Order: sequence, then structure tokens, then C-alpha cells
Amino acid sequence: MRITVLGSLLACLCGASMLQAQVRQEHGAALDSTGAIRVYSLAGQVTVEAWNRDSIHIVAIVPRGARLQAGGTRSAFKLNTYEGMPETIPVVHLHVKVPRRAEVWVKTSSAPIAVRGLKGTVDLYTIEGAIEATGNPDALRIETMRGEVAVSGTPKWLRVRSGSGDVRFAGEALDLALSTVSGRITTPAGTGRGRVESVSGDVTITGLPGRGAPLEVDSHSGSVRLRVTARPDASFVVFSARGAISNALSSASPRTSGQSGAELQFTSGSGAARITIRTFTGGVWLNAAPPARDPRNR
Amino acid sequence: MTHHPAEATLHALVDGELSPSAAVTLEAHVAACAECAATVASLERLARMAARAPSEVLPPEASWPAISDAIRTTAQVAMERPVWSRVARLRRSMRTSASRALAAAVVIVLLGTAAGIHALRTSGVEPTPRITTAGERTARDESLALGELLRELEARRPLLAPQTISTVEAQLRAINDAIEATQQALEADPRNPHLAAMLEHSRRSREQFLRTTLSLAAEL
Repeated sequence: MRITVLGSLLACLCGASMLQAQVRQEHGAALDSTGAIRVYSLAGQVTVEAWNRDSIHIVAIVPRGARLQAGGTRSAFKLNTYEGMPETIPVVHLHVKVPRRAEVWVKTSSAPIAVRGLKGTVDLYTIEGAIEATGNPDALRIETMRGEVAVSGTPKWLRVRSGSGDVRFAGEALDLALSTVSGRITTPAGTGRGRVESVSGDVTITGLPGRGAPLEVDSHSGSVRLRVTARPDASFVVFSARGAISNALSSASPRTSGQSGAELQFTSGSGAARITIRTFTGGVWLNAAPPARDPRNR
Repeated sequence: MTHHPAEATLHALVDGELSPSAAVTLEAHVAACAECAATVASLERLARMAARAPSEVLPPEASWPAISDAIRTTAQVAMERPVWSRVARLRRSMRTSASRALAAAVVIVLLGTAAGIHALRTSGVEPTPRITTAGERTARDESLALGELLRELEARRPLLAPQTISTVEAQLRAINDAIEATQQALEADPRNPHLAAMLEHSRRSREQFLRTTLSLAAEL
């Protein structure tokens, strides 16, 4: 009992000390509706949220002694959170509100990045922080070494490159390119052209691209699962050098391709969409799935 | 845009690698800036010349050993450095400097890439080819591109956290294994277009991975 009480007291003191060690800073500035914002932050958290004002508003929780460098013009604004503490990595929690169509660029080391509601161009880079992006940006580019990536919404142009982090996309993209080395990829097919690549990560794709649009999937040792409606309107070319090919969409069977591997080709409907899947040792599964319900009709 | 963009950005514009909005912004700058317009025109000329160049043309055979030696020297320099003592120091000082937290993995990248290049040299290309195949040309072009990346990495020499080092090492190994396995399969079945496409994909993945590593490590 005594130990519990002492422990609680110690925890309270530590908590109070940590709170005292952090300082809340706020900044605000006018910014054009399509102004550019660059944010550098190493550790902590970065959240960028759209709002319907031509200004930028920053709330930062920074360690005592750290200086938040924030400044710029109406067309460009820069935030830098590691000024003033060259000998340590400041853990900074940043919450930034920006004009909805602003051009946003964020780079962190371990800080997770979250962006919400943006409609302009968004570039997010992190070594190991998780990235969560929701909204309908014109262009969204994400690069990470180890961070997990979750994107939802309708970015027109989407590019994600990840090393070991998983990539999950839920929504619609007109132009889609997702690649990982060992991370898993889960995505719908883009409405336009799509390219999905992994070296060893498994790939799961739901649905088909639009009429005439190509979808190319390459994985060396990851499995590829494509789930589409029972009677897809698409032409399929599937190759695997060493992996199994399972086709539940038609009666077509894989045949030997060249001196190595197996190839499956068939057309369903008018062959509107063009699907190409290649693996080396990874298996390929073409499955029929019930059509997804349109969330807007719920 | 009031300042001049970096030349690398102009390269990206000419190569069509920028996002649509970034391209529009940059094109607006180039239209109003004689200096950048001249650079872009020069890069476009270079791209046109490269496109017209016969694909059979390769760097003179005599130059290849020099390139190869340069790459080996770079790797040797990296190996001769007290890598792991540096890593140990980094671990101790991890909390003191973010930029230092990035060093060791670059060494791993250098070693892994050099090993990959060495593997390409030794496994995929004949010592003195008279007639070159598409695969051989690709391997050489890739080696040259990787050499550039090595130099960039050497110049920046940023530091990565130990866990990231492991990730970089494991991923380069996975990509190199994929390239090697696909290359062997293609040698056995050289007319298979799927294998050729997969080899190209794996090579591109390695280059993209190195570029991403460089990009993420820069400016932090």
C-alpha cells in the first residue's frame, strides 16, 4: 500500500515536471488561399488541418528552451521546430491550420504526420513516422522508410513510396502509383491508370480501373490478390515465374510461358479495363467479390 | 516563385517527374526567367540527343574498369572507416543530434549498393562483350546511375537510427536478391517479356529506394 502511494506521488511529480518542461506557443499569419507551407519537425507529432480562412494558425507544444521558428510571406510560410536546441531532438507537437487549397510540404524523422481536408498539393516525407492523410488533394505524394501509410479520400494524383511500412488506401484516385519494398499494400484500383509494386510485400486490390485504363501490378515474392465483381469488364494478363495462379473469374487456366513460369490470359465482358499482374514467387489470386456498397448511398 | 529552382528540380521537370501543380508553378517561373529557360532548353536538348542516340552505343570499354575501380574504391573507403565504432558513438549520442542519427545506414547503403553493383558486374555482364544485349546495357546504365547515387550519399553522409539501418540493409538485400533471381531466370529464358519487365521493375525499385533514402535523409 505504502509502495503504491509512493509510486502514485512519484508519477504525479514526474507528470507535473514534464508539463512544466513544455511550453505552448501560438502563431498566426495571413496566407494566400494557395500559399505554400513547409514544415520541418523531427520528433513528436505534426497535424495539418484545412480550414476555410486565408491564414495559417499554429499551436505548438515545444520543450522549454526550444524555439519554434515560424515565418514567411503571404505566399510562403515555413515552420522549423529544431531551432534553438542543436544538442537535442526536441519533441514537438504541432497542430497547424492552413487554407484548404494551400500547398503543403511536411518532413519529419520520427514524428507521425496527419493531414486532413486539404485540396491542394500535399507532399509528406518521414523516415519512420506513421502518415495518415484524409481528404481530396489534387496531388498527394508520400515517401517513408518505415512508417505506415493510411490514405483515405479522393486524391486525383497519388504517389506513395514506402520501405517496410504498410500502405493502405481507401477511396478513389484518378492516377495511382503505390510501391513498397516489404510493406503490404491494400488499395482499390484507381479510376484511371494504376501501378502497384512491391518486392516482398503482399498486395490486395479491390475493384477495377475505369474503361480503357490500365492497372499494372508487380511483386517479386509478395502475393497478389485481386477482388473484383463476378463478371468483370476487363482483359487480364497474369504471369508468375514460380508462384501459383488461381483464377475464380473465368474458366481459363494458366499455360506455360516461354521456358519458365505460367501465364494466364483471358477477357471478360468487352475487356474495358486492362489488368497486368506479374510475380516471381508470389502467388496470384483472382477472386470474385460482391460489389462494394457505395458509401454515399448508405 | 522568386528564387531559382535547384538544377535537380529542373531535371525533374524535363523528365516529367514533378507533380502536376509543381510542374505548372515551375513552368511559370521558367517562362519568366531567362537563366532557367536556358537551363531547361539545354536539358531538353540533351534528352532529345539521348533519345536519338543509337542504343548500341556504350561507353568505351576502356572506361569501364575506371568506373568500376572508382566504385570499388568508394566501397573500400566506406569499409575502412570505423563504421561500427561510429555506430556505437552514435548510439551514445543519439539524443544529442538528430542529424547524426542518420550516419550508419548510409554506410550500409553504400556497402549494399556496392555489393549489388559488384554482383551486377560479376553475374550479369560478360567481361568483354562484343555484342551487347539489352540486359547488359541496362545493367551498365544502372551501374552508372547507382554510382551517382553513391557519390551523393557519400557527399551528404547523413546518419540514420539503428533500427532504420537494419531496415535499409534488409530492404537492399531483398531488392538485390530479387534482381539476382530474376536475372538468372531471364538468362535461362531470355525471350520472356514478363521476366524482362520484372527485372526492369526490380532495378527501378532499387534506384527509387536509394533516391528515397537520399531524399528522406536530406535536410533533417
